[in-house]
Amino acid sequence: MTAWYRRWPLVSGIALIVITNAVALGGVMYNRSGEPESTLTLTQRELALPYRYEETSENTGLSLSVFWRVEPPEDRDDEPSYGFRYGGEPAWLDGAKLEELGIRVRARAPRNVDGISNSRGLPVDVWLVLEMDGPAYKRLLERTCNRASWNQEARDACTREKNEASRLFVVDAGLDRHALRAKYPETTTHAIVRGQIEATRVTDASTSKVTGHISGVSVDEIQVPVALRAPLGPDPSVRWDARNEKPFVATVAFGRRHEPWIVKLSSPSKR
Amino acid sequence: MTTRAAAQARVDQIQAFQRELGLLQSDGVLQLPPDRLQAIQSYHATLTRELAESFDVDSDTRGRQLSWGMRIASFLGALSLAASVFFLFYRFWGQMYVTTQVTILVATPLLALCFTSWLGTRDSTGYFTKLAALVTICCFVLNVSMLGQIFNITPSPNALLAWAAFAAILAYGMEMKLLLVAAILCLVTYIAARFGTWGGAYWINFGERPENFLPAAAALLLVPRFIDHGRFDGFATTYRVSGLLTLFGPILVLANWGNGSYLLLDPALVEGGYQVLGFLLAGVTIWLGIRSGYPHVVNTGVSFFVVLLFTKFYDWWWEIMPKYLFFLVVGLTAVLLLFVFRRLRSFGRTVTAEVA
Repeated sequence: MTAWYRRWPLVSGIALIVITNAVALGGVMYNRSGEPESTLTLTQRELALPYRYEETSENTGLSLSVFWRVEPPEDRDDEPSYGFRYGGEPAWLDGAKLEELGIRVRARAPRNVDGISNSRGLPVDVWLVLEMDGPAYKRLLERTCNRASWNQEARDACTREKNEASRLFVVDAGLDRHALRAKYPETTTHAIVRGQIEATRVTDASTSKVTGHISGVSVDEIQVPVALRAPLGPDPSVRWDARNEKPFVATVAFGRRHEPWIVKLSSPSKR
Repeated sequence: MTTRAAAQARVDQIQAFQRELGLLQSDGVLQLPPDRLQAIQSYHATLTRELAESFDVDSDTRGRQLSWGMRIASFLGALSLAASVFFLFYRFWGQMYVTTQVTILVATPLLALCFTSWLGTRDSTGYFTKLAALVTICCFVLNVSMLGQIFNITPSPNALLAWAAFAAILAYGMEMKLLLVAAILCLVTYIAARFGTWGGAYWINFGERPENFLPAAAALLLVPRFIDHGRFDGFATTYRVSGLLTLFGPILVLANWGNGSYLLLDPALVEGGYQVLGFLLAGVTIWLGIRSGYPHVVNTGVSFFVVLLFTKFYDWWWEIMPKYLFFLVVGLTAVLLLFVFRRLRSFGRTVTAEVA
């Protein structure tokens, strides 16, 4: 009894470490077992290398940031788009879609005498559909380049959209991943991932409007194992204004738990 | 006697007895025969020496001051070593293959735990064991969080539960309050995150609804009520104070930020409600602390009451009052509070006397 009393912290601690690691690594093995749920071919436009100013000599790990976008409503065509990752309000995320996702924002009682209240809901976990180089990108490219005759800024935007901007778009959301896969069966262009949506309701004396906003994807950085780093060279960082400085092509698989990993990384010429 | 705290309490008691005996003798109240006095002093000297050898207790004021220095050095050393382990891995992990990364990450907390356990049987002071235990916890945190990064695992609050359990094992195994605080912090975050997800939100945003912390506060306050911690010096106090801070913190936030509440009422009404609730709960806490003889509960209640009162003073009067008047009101309120607390203290003495 005394021996056990002396040893129980050691035995329990070892058991906890072993169990925790077994659960975590078992989950990784399960995710990567069998055929991937989807496999996308992405480039430096969709997976951003760290910027030179972000690089610190303390951290030798390398992760690529996933640059996802949304197709904004047409009435926002005059707003600048740089093809970077940002939270967005896609046209398809309207009140009906939010209702379908079970995201409701009840109006908070107005605080001000003018009767306007702004109620923000918290982000809700849902399944998001990522589309690579699909109709959403093509529509936005066409919309952007249709404006190219307006002025130099619009022409630059068209060029940027053609050559630099991310082609990875969040095109749909749902609560049932199987239903989403049935709706988007192409596994080489559509991946289903975990992400978050939040809604805001603006209420005044006569109207009440809800808008949806994609606040993020759960895994927004993908680690590059040391064995796959060779195509990126000894210094993988880039200048913030030169994302195409180091072109590469990455094959990213999404497993049974919809968690991504890089299967292959190569220079564009070696594809 | 099994713990250092109990041994230290006994030594303190002996010293207090010797001081009081000296006063009684000098005032002529008590005169012990020299042989009896010699026997008592000899017994106390032997006992103090034995306790000092077995538990490294402080037998004088100088030793006590040095102990505090050692505690602070041990804590700062543990933080620095933990940071060192963290940055050491960050510095080299990018040059390792995944198998090597995983092997190091899993092996480090196991080895650190074995070392801490071995050290615990040899370190009578506990300072070095505490230092090693904190580094062990850091290794385990690094283990789980880095596995998540390496394999792009979807973030989950479950890691907090594993860290809380690990810190609790070490806290109870090594009888260390500091580790218990670490376990409580992880557990409170886990419970708040779980309630946040049950409330329909993504778990990372649990802090945006401070009410998510209230179930954790209730759980912490109930632990010492139903589980006897007599053998673990200061653990029950740690649970009570942590529980009260977890209760009062969200109330203080909601008393100033009604939009953060789950209650879909006018934010001003929510803030007013939590202000009233805060003052009521602070009063009840002070009363319960006096009634139960828990000075730490009384102090926590008083501190919260004062902080809540002064934040509201700032809200109400900072803009509209001349500064000299504002600070005069604050100063007069402090004087008034001193009178109230003096009355409470005499009430506490009465209750203690009745209990005695």
